[in-house]
Amino acid sequence: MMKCEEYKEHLADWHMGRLEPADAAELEQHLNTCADCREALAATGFVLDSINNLQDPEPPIQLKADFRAMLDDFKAKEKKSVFRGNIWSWLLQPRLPLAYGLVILLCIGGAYLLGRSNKQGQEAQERKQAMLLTMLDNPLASERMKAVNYTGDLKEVDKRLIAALLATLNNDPNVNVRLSTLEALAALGDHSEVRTGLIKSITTQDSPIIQLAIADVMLKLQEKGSVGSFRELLKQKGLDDEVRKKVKETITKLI
Amino acid sequence: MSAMKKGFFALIAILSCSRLMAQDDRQLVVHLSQPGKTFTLGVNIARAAINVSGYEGKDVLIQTDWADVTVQEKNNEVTVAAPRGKTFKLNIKVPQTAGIFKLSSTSAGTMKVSDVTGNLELQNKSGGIIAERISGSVIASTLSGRVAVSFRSVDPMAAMAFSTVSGYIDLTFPPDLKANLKIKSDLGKVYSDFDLVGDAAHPKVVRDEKDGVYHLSIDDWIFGRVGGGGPEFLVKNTNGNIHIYKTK
Amino acid sequence: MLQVKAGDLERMSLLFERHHRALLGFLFHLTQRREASEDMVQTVFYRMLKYRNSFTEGSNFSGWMYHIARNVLKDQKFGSGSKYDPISVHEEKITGGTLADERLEKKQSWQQLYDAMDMLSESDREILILNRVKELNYPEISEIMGISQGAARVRVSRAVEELKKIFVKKGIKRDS
Repeated sequence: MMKCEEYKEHLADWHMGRLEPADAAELEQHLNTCADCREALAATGFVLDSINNLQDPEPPIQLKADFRAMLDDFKAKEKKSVFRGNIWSWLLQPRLPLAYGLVILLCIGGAYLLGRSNKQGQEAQERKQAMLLTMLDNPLASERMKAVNYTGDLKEVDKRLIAALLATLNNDPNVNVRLSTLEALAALGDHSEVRTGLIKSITTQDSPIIQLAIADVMLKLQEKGSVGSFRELLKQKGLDDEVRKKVKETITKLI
Repeated sequence: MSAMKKGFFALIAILSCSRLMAQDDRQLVVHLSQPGKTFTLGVNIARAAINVSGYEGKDVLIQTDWADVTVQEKNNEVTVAAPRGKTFKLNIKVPQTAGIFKLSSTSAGTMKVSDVTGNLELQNKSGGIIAERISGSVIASTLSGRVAVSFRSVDPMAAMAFSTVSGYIDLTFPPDLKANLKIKSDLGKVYSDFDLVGDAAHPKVVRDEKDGVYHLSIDDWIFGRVGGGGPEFLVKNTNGNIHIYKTK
Repeated sequence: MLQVKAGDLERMSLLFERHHRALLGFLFHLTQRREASEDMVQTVFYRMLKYRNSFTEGSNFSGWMYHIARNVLKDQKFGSGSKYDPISVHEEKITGGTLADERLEKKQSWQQLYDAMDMLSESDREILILNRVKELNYPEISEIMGISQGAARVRVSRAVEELKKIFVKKGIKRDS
C-alpha cells in the first residue's frame, strides 16, 4: 500500500495511459477512496490536456523542398569525399605506424576541439546557403525576395551565392526582387566581384527604379569605377528624366 | 480632288468608323480544373487596363471589350493573352479562395485589384496600382503612378515590397502588423501612425511629432520594426510622400 | 566503406516524411520560434545524415532523432530578436463571425499556456513537451534524457506540479 505522495507521482502516467494494468487498477482503487488524490488527478489532467491540445505548426511546403536540396547537396559532397578516403588508407599503411598514429590522433583531437565549437555554426551556414540557392528559383516573387533578404543573416557569403545574387539582379522578372537584390549586394560591397558585377549591370538594367537605386549604391560605396558606365548610360535614348538627373548628380559627386 | 474621290474616301472613313464602334463586350467563363484549390492568374499584356476583383463564385469570369483576347486554363493556372495593339479593358472576377496573381501592364492606366486572397505580384509602368482589402501579400512596382494598398489581413511570413519613382505610396495595415519596414523616399516625407522601433544595427529613426502622426526625416534607408518585428517590407519612391497607416 | 549507399540516403528521405512534423512540433513548442524551429529540423536531419554510421540498425530511430534534437537545441543561441507571434503560424484568414471569435479565444489560451511554460525551468519544460510526443514511450523518453524510467516519471510529475502552481498564480482555471 502506497502513501498518497507516491500515488500522486503516478497520476500523470495514468492520465496518459502509461501505467501497467496492475498498477492502474491499484491506483483506481485508491482514487475511489481518496478525494484529495481525485482532486490532484483533475488538476493534473487539466495541465496535461492543455499541453496536449497545443496545435502543432503546419510544416510549410518549403521545408520538404529544403530538405531535398540539402540531401542532394549531401550526396554530391559524399561522392567527392571518396577520394579523400583513399588518401587516408594510403597514410595508414604500415610505415612508421606509431608516428603516423600519433599525428593522426593529434589532428583528429585538434579538429574535434575546433570543430565542436564551429560545428553548429558551420552546419547552419552550409544548410542555409543551400536553402537560399533553392529559394532563389522559387516561382513566387515573395519567396525569392525572402531568400535575398536572408543573405543579410549569413556570416559569410561565398562566390556561389554572390554569383546567384548577381544573376538574380540581372535576370529576375520582378522589379522589386531585383531591387532587394541590389540592396543585399550593396551590403556585400567589400567583395570585389560584387563591385565589378554591379558596375556591369549599370548599362544592362532597363528599369528606372533599379537605375536610380544603383546610382545611390555607387555613391554610397564611393565607387569611382562606375563613372564610365554611368556616362554610357546617359547616352541611352529614352532614358527616364529622373534617372538622367540622378546619374548626372552622381557622376559629379563621385569625381 | 474630284467629287467622286472625295465621296469614296468619305465612304471608307465611315465604314472604318463603324468597324471601330462595333466592339463587342465579351464575357468568358473559365472553369478551374480544381475549384476551391489555389489558382494562378497570369496577365502580362502591355495595353490591358486590368481590374481584378473577388466574388462569391467558383469560376474565373473575364469581361473585355476586345475580340482578340484569349484565355487558357491548365491545372488551375489561368493565363490571359492578347496581341499587341490598342488599349482595352480587362475586368476579371475571381473566387475568394487563395490565388497567386501575376499581373503586369505598361501603359493602360491604373491597375486595380480588390477583395482577393493570396500572393499578389503587380507591375505597371505609366499608371498607378491600387490593391484594396487584400488578404495575403503584395509585391507592387510601377514607374509613374501611385501605389495604394490596403490589407484585410497580412500573411505573417511573407516578404513584401512597394516601389514607384514618381508617385505616392499609401499603405494600410491591420494594427497588429508584425514586420521589419525598410523605407526610403528621396524627396518625399514618410508618415506613419505605427510605432517604428529602431534596433541595434539601425538605431537612426529620426522623428518629430505633429498631430499625433510621425513625420520621419529621410537620410538613407529608414529601418523600423513594427510589433516586435517580422518579415521585411521594402517601401521606396523618389518623388512623393509615403504613408503607412493602421486600419481604423 | 566510404562509398555512398544510395539506398541509405533515400531511406533518410522516408524518415523525414514520417517524422518531420512531430519534430517540428517538439522544437516549436519549446522555443515558440517558427523559423528557427524549421531551421533546426534541417540541422537535425543533416546531423543524422552525417552520423548515420553511429546509429545501430534496429534500435529506435525516434529516440535517436530527439536525442540529436536536444543537442541541437543546446547549441542554439537565439538572438534577442522577436519571436514572431507563434499563434499566427497557421495563417488562418480571419473571416469574421463567431468562428473567428472562437479562434481568437483559442489563440489567447495557447498564448497563456506558452507564457506559463516560459516560467518553468528549461528541463521541466523540455520533459513536458517530450512527454507529449505521441510516438515516444517511457523507455524511449528515459533513454533520450539519459535517466532511469523511474526518474523520468518523477520528473514529469514534478514538472506538472510546478506548472499547476504557475496556473494558479496566473489565474488559469479549468471551466468546470
